[in-house]
Amino acid sequence: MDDRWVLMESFFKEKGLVRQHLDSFDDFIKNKLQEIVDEQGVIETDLPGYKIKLGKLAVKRPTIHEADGSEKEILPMEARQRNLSYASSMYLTVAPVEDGYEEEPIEVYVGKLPIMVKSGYCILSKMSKEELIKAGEDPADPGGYFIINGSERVVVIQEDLAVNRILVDVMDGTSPVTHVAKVFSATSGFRVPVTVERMKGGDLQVTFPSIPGRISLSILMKALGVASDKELVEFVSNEAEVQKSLIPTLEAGVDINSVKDALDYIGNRVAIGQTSDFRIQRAEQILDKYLLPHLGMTPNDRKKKSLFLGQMGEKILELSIGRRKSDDKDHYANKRLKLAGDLLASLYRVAFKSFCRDMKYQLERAKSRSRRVSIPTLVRADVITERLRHALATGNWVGGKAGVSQLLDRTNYLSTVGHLRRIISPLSRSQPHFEARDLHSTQWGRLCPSETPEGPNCGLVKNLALMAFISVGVDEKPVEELLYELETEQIEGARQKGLSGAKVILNGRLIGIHQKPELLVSEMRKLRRRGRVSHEVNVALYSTETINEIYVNCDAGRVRRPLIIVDGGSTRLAKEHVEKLAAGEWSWNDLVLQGIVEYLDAEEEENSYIALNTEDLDKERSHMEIVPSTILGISASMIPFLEANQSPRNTYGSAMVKQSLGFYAANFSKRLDTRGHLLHYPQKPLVNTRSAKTLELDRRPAGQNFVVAILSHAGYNIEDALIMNKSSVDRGLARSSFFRCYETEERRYPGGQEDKIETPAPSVRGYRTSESYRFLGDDGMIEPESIVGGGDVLVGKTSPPRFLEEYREFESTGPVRRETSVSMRAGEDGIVDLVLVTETSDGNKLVKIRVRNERIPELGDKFASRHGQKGVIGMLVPQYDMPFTEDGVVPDLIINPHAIPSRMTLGQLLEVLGGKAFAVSGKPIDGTAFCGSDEKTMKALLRDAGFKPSGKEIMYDGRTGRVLEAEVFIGIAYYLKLHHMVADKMHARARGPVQILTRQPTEGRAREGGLRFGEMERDCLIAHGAAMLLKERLLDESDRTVINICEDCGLIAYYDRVKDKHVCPICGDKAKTTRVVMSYAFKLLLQELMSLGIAPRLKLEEKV
Amino acid sequence: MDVKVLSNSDGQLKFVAKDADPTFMNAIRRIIMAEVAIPAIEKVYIAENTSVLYDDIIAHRLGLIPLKGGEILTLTEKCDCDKKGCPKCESILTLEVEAAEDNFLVYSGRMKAEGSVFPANNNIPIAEMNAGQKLTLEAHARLGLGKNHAKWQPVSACAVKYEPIIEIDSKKCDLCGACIEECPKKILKEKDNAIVVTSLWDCTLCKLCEEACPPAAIKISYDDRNSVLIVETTGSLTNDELVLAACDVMLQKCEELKSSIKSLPEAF
Repeated sequence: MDDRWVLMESFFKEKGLVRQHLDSFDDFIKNKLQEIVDEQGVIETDLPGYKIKLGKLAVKRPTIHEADGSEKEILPMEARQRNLSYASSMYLTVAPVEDGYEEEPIEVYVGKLPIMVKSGYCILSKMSKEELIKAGEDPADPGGYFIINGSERVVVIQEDLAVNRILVDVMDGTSPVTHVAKVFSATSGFRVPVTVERMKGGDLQVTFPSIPGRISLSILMKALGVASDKELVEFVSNEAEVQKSLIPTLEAGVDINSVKDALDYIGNRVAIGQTSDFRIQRAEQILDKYLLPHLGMTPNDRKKKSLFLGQMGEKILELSIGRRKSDDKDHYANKRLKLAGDLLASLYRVAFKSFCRDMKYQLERAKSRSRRVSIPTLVRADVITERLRHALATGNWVGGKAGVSQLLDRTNYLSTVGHLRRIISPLSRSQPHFEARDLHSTQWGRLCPSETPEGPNCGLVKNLALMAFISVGVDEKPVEELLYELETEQIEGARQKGLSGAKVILNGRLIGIHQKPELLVSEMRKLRRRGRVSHEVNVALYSTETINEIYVNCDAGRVRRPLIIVDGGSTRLAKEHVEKLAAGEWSWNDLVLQGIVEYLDAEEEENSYIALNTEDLDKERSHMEIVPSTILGISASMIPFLEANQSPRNTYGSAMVKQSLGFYAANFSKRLDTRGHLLHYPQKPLVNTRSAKTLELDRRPAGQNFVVAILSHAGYNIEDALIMNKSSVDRGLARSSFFRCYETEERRYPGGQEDKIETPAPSVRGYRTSESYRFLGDDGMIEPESIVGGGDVLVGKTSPPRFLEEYREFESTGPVRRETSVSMRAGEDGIVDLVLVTETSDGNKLVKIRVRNERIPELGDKFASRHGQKGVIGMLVPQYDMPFTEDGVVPDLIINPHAIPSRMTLGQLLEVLGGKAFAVSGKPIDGTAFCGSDEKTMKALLRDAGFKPSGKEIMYDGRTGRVLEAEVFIGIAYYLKLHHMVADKMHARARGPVQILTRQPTEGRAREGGLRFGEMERDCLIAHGAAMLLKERLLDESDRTVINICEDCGLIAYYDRVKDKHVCPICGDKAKTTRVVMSYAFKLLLQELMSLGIAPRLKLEEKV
Repeated sequence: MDVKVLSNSDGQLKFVAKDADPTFMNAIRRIIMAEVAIPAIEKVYIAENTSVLYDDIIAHRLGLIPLKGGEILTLTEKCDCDKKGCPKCESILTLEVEAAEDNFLVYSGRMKAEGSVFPANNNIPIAEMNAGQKLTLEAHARLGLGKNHAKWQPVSACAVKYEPIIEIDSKKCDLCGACIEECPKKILKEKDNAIVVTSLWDCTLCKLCEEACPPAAIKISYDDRNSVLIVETTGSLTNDELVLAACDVMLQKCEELKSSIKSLPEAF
């Protein structure tokens, strides 16, 4: 077992936790970026003979453009502190071509590309640990995120249905379609669905965008150049049974017998009433551009397309005659993951297109004015810069996807890493999608079975398992050639010869027939293990009585996992390999190169028979797991004895470890996160898992080891409350600091106006009391270590008036400036921790202030163990009142016994026992899932130390000194302080602010709002007949107003200040008005009705 | 009441009181924990702190350092300075360090006592500093009671334990030795064809021997009239000083009770 852990450790040593993001981003810069430029190739202009040839795109080191015009290299920490974007300049080589004469190529600046932290282009990636510390970084920071305007943004992995693969399905009885084969044809830039449907009559119809309605498969194939029905049938299949069921399709196309007719038929759909030539031209255009574009977009690719359609036809017919089953959409072989690189590529493509459009426009405009144009001055670089920056900053991606980039979770180290390994499924949260949310057996080892949110996102948001790795993708051309070399008969020839054998399908496309499929598959695997083929190529053979197919995949986005290769009942991993690894002579990659381990995708895994442990090895087995507990994700790896828990508890536990406070980053003193928590005395868990140690999660811990007793004690821990030892709290247990950052910028406005950071003069509009400004120094900023409370001004600032009319009020003193100081949030207090004065890229002065606040555990603070056992403090009991053991050991925490039986978190009991055994013996207890320490070991350790092996002890009541009747289970468990603290939530109000529109009390704690007296509370008062109280709550204490109503017309009267009386605007000042008490909201209703042209008249009567 | 000291070593005092009710022993225990006045740092004036630890954390850590030499101080609450703190109820310690090298640990021994009060242990780390970081502060120690804050609690562990009773029925016992094996404290021994108890007070009442004995020859119970008190101080007072001080507090309380009952007009 230890040998295999060495493997796992070497895997993480080489890859780290976010390699997939970094690889994907590096691939984007190295390959995709240039591909996108090459796709465009030239910028054609409307000017005769003038165009621009696009050449190489170069990405430089991350820099920023300062306000003085200089360009300077920056490090990520500077970007975070100064609200800058960590981005590199891109330079594109362009060569103008005029009348066939190509001018000297020049390099132009085309924009800034955000750089992923710690990717190949990031300066940090080449730094040693010491250099990283010097650069202000936490050496353990995983990278894999972007810094946009100073905030860290993650591009979350998106899950998608695999493209270019045919998926067949059975339709329900009510539709005119019986079976359907669907493929999303995707090539760089766009995704086009093509559907082949088998109608009730048995004929096959094709639908694809840009052609309305269905087209018979036979007509479409004829339009693509299939000369005869014989050829058509050959393209579909050479199984007699399948060919027979193609007859209705052939009949549907019987009237159309030439390519021209077929094209005309299609042309009639899209260009009705045009000339025949135009129709045919349009039809050809559509077939080339919008039908299966992944196979190519030129007329030469039409044969490939008809073959692909034939392949679709065969698959659907096989389904209809029962030769195959419908495809499983939730099978992970049919899913692809899109990482930051892919997502950025699609974003960049759009940005680059609009950049080229803009350049074309600029060129034409400039050229029309003068003969010579200087290209660098014409290029508008901010088109690309802004597009990328905006998408990353808001998460709104091209194609209307929202939430693609998210703010990196920095609650603790684990939540940061976990966030970088999250996968979002684009399926809507509102629909049930039960199957899609279910755990699928092919997710084993790829996605964590425990870590998923509860509620609407359950099963849609997933997390990568520890050793899951995502393929970057390799070129399929060499693979295709190799397959032909290995005696795969090209499909056309094979069909003409009527060869039977296994179909060879490369990335979803049928390329040929192989007569000895087992041989081909084993040959391919052999070559891969020898390194002749890229390790990213996976081969799978599906063979049943009726189907025989070889799937070869080498595309990007497949989730693959490494396994040890087994032949003939023994693993290829030998002792010497492990020794070499342990000695550092070998790295993980050597194992892959030597063919000792290989990566399997979900498709190839269907062909494997995997042993969990060495005991299971036999002749049949093809692979062995590296470490069984790597099926878990990061959060679940934190849970000790996870296998002993009831499964949902692990899900809750995984969610809660991400909320626990700890040591979130070693560079916390340099960071200015808007909110941050820091646990004062974080500890490594006593009972830890090996995975957590390997991932160095215990170097950034988020919790403390508590002495826990399971006891009711005074009843103050009923219903998941916790009793905590006040003396422990006095000694610093679970103490944390809360940081909040405030910031302000000295902005410049058009017209020379600017903000000023200063202590505002009393004449400033909106001046607070002079008391609020008492901490400000001469520079208008607060001093560090000042003790501040709610409403205190941290930075004094004045701004020029917002509207023009404010200028009119000016006297000789000039326009009145506005008060725009930054002050502490209402109800919060603390100590000013850091005052940072710097400059933004616009050259504006930027002030950031960090306020810290010590959080000592108090009644109502939330704590949890790692087993989904959460609770809030119900009572703080001093040590002398706490129960004690005969050694004088007092628990830090008392949890209620009722928390255990129904929840079945046996893992927690084992942890407590193990923690105690570790503490008394000094011998480590391992809680790794599936291979942790034995309960027997712990019991033996306890017994040797003179404790009862069950973990129970006799305890005495601290209040009376009498022995407690029952033995108490007491030991040590790792507890997490969660970030839900009373200090952030406590709220009450008597009087306070009201909304401007309705004059009702504001809502929410942040606005010092009122507590809603709701509908059900109202019902209560009605039931009690408490009319006076009801009116007081709903009217007097809310938005009571007095309005004068005209007694004659019943409309609202206004107050005339000059005459000092109420006047009805209709009946004049003669009419008598009466004061009426009403809710201000009702007054608003009356006025709204009036604005609609309705006269809401109130009929007044005398009070009886 | 018959008192016998069982052990007084390793900073731990253990004594038995026979014929003392456990509630009485617990009263002593609680007074030890909550009501014996010892000094602890209550106020810290920080002149300079360039270490990474915040002022609040350093102050908290200083507060937890056990201090000696508080005998001549009076409780601030009872002092005539109106709780402001004066030389009579406060003693000052100062600390002034500048780290010369990285990873420099500042220990409690660096604190300079200006008054009578000084750290009970010189090896308690206060802060770790890097070269050039400075810490200058003045700490005011006051007497206080454990019930107000754990820093004034003179003991780390303090427990009362009943006297175990181990009855071995020699008629039933077949000397199988299962109980000897089972006992985690290893206090049972076979001697002269009988099971004997070697150190009775080590028994934790876990009853494993009872469960292990097939003929049920062994029976565990306790006698709550006899109990042992275990005291382990933090170093501010020695164990015996502490117990004596606790007794004084108890006596004083009784005196107060006596005098207040006497002063009641309707009494006697």
